[in-house]
Amino acid sequence: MTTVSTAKAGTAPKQSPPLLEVDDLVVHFEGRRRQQPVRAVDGVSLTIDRAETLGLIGESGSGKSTIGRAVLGLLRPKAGAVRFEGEDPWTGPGRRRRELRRRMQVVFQDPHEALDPRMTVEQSVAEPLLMTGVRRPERLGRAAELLERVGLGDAHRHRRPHELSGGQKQRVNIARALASDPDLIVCDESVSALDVSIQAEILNLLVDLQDERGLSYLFISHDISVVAHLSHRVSVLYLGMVMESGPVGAVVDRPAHPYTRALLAAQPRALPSYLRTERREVLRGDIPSPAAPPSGCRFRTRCPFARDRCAQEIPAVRELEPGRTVACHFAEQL
Amino acid sequence: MGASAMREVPVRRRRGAGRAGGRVALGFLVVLGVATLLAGSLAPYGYNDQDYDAILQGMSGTHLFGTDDLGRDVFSRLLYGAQVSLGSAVVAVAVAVGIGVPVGLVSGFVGRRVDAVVMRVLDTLLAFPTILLAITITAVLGTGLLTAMVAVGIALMPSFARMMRAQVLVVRDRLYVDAARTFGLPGWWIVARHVVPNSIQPVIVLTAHMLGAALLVEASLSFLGLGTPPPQPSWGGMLREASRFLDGLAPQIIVPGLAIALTLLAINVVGDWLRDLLDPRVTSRSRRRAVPEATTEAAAV
Repeated sequence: MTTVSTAKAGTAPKQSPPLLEVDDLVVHFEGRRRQQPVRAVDGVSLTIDRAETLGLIGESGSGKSTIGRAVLGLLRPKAGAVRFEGEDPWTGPGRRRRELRRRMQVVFQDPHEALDPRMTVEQSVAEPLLMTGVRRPERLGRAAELLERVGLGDAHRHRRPHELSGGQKQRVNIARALASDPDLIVCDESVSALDVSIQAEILNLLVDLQDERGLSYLFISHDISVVAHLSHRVSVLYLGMVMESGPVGAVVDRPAHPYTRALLAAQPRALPSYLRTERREVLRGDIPSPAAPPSGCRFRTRCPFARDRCAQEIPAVRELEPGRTVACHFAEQL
Repeated sequence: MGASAMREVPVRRRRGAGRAGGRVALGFLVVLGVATLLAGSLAPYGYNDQDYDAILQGMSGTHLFGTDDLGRDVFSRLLYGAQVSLGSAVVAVAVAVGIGVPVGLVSGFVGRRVDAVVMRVLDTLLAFPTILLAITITAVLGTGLLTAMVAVGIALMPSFARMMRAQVLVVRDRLYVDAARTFGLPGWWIVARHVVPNSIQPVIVLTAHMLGAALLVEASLSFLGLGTPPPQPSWGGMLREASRFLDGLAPQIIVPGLAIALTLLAINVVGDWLRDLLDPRVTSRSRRRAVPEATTEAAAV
């Protein structure tokens, strides 16, 4: 798969190998004996360049968070590979593995849960610098700097999470994620738990930080408008498989996969009129169980265009145009 | 919105009265503890000094809490008895905590097979009534309070292990533990810094309550004659000896009974007080400080 970045930010270099490469990732959750394993992620490939944001969209249960956790090394994939600058975070000596981990950080959905209730803001933000050889005064100085950068003053440094608002807590999480000076931040629904006005602030903060530091984001969200706002490229996920991926403008303007269309149609108010699809194709029913996915195309049970072939043959991931892929037999005819 | 908008941080005041009660109870236990340690110099008589001219006497100036059937000073025996009663309760709980907490921690954190095996063993232990186990071990190893209390400790241990495990299972999956993993910190460090501090609070409270339970078990064993052999006094033993001469409001039985009851009450009150005190949401800092209104968001909107 070739990697192409849009001109949106104009910062993504094209020549070097990608920062993060996820290759045919498979994650299964084993249940009790004799039960079918849950195939949370079933052969997902994606790449992220430096200073690029890849948006990962999908409903709950589509496996988007699982991909994030596998990238961070919190989950061991059943098959496939995660390569950060060509290195697998699961192999190599422990010290090297830990170093690698520091260069990938995470901002979770629930800002409260992600902070240790017993630690002050300052302690939390300085924590990633522990055991890196940075001395304590320096660590605290760094923490203060970062807190200021994310918009929290001295008054907040000695507070505990329960003394902060949701938006402030998410700022602390961002500051903490920045502490080890990472190259990639996995944003797992990082703004979904926040009020809309605060969502916008946090998103703008993330964009500013990207411009300043050349960060890459893996931005996981179910909200296509949020993803469209700050991603360069998007991958649309359904039942653990990528349905469609490509530059954000192209995917949002001309969705090639029926699922992407349905997703876009489901959020009419969140998009300006020129981004809306003409027809509203509202999805019916729920996402099928990942323990027993449908045969053939995973989306066929809810697809308004499903035909016989869709039940028999798993659609291959095809390249529609450079940098644009789709997994649908009939993408051209829709 | 005014930039200087200040507000008092909301405080959850739980049991305002309980806090004062907690201090009183803690004070009682401290005094009791000191008196117990200094029994040798505080007691006016030896625990086995007999005065045959003063048998089964009531309260008086020479014998503060009267004398027992052998003419021994009840107050002195109460102090010496505290060494045995409280000491053995502490031994039992120390054994229970010392084994139970690490077992629960490992079981919860490692999970899977280790957890399954450990839990079944604990279930088996838990099936034995505490006193019965203590009596059995005493019967096998001979009357000795130390062995009995170690047995009580082993019988109480599963409660600690189970509570610790339950806590660890919750904390282990918290997002801040996942976040700490991404900092490249080693597993033992995450356990020590995040898992234990956030799991231990109910265990501390349980420790206080179990101290009371162990005290009661010791008293029961001694009352049944399975504890300290005479003439060494213990609170339960004093009750047992005095019960033969039970007749009206005799200090010989009321005093040790009251000592047991008050100590139990104090331990339980302190336990509840600790539970409130250890809640990270109620800290002395948050109680006092007025802080500026959420500045960042207010300013930006």
